[in-house]
Amino acid sequence: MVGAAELRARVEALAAWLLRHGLRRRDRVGIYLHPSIDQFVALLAVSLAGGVFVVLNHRWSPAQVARAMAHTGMRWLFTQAGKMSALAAPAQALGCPLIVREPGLGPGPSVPWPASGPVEPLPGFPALSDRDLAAILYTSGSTGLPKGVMISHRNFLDASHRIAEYLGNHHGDRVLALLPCSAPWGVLQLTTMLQAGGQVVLPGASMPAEVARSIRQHRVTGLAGLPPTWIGLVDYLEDRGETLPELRFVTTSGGVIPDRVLEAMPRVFPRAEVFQTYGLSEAFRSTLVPPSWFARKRGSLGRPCRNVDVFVVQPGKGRCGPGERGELVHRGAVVTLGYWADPEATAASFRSCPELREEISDEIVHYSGDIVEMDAEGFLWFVGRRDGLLKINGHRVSPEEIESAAVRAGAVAHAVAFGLEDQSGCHGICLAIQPARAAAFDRAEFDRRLRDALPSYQFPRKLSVWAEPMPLSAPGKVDRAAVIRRSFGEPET
Amino acid sequence: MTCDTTQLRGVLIRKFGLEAGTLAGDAPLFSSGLLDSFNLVDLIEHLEQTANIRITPGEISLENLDTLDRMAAFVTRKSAAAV
Repeated sequence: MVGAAELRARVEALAAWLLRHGLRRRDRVGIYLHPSIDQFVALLAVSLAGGVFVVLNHRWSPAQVARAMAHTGMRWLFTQAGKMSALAAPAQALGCPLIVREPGLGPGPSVPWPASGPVEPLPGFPALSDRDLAAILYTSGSTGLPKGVMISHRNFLDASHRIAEYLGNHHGDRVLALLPCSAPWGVLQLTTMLQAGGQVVLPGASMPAEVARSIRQHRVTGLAGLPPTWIGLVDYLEDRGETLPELRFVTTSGGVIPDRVLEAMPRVFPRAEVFQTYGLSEAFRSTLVPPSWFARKRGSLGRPCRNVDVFVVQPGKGRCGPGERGELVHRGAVVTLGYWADPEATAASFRSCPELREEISDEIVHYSGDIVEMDAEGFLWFVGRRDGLLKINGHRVSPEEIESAAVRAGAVAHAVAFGLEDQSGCHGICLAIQPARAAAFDRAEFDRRLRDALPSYQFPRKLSVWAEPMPLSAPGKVDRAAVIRRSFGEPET
Repeated sequence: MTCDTTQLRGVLIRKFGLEAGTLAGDAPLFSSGLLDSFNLVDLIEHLEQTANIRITPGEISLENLDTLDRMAAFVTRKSAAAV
């Protein structure tokens, strides 16, 4: 357990170390660690020292980390000893030393994690502007590789205040931090508790039985979670006839939760208010279903929060009224600054909206890619995606990314990735591949290479290997719909 | 039907690309972070199909599944009860 004073001391000591070793304002520093106090200290320290923290999902492969290293021009990477050998080469090539707790265990540049404890007088920490970047956090798009969302201090502070206000966070709160800090919502678990003077509880294993145990053991008062967390926890409690009266708030987001699970929440969380929320990495924590509306609006994305502007637009037509479908567009302090070093992708999503010109002129807004419909009470409902992006268990998954990884894994002529829902409501990724030469296809080698390229939450749950050529809709173009239909229900090979 | 640690070790190596050296019978799988919640879903599905058992949500716990030894004992118990 780490108290506020000790946390502050550790953060200040690490920030001072970074400055003494040449961190310049706005330099990027990577963090590739398991959720832990070290991870929190590192991101806060980078921030205090005026740098930009780049938290990478600890499930990412070394190849993905190396790409982020190069892409952001990382100065250092905080990581674990176990990752050193895989990252030694890129660390060397890119001049990005690894900061680990046990140095000297591998090749490549590394430095020991600075010891905490009393230091010489602290340096003056730089004064920042709220427009300065606090972080670059990666998210998948429908095309290409993951993009680095540029998040300002203002974006985080704005969202943190918004959340703490609607949750009524106070110093008696203890939040179980299940969400990874590689996504904005995860970082906000930490900031809301720092703001309120509450506590952050780090979970053990993510199994529902362990989540329930943590909640009881630490008297957790609230938590935020993605659909698999809620499906798993509710099913677990209902199966055992148990409840968690400790919780006073639960927050859902990240995709569709089966109604049977939502409907059970008041039973298994008898003292909790349920907050259904929505947001994107590019414009986070923007809409909310107030708990008093829960029963009437189960499954809704909510209404815009205070100081958040959201419009529903139909290109070429205009703003949508109730009952009309259109794309959800965000505007205001909730909108992040764009994608790092990717002007094309930034211009595609962060642009002015002709349908809003009468009201806000050419102000830049963010196009979410989510097609929604507003009801008579102003509540938004998800209809679908404008592009092919999948939302699997709260994570964005780009079918194109998986297909590219499959083709790169070798000897694959065509690949089609798609999402599939199982009986309990959990989504999984299916991948159909057509080997370049069916007779010579090495399944085990393919698996191994694909596993190296993709993190676990993107890894296909079902693989269908086509012994015959896939149907084509045009020369060289696979008929995706036909492939998906025929692969669906095929026994796992 | 008995299910033993050796069989399960083979499953983990094939399915998740783990190395035999890290898989002692009492090595923590989930509590150590070696396997995550996505792996868990796959594993449950596999165990149910191959051992012809149904694992209820309430049974998914570290006590039953966190090591190869525990997993083997759990599956064996469930198979016997199902007969």
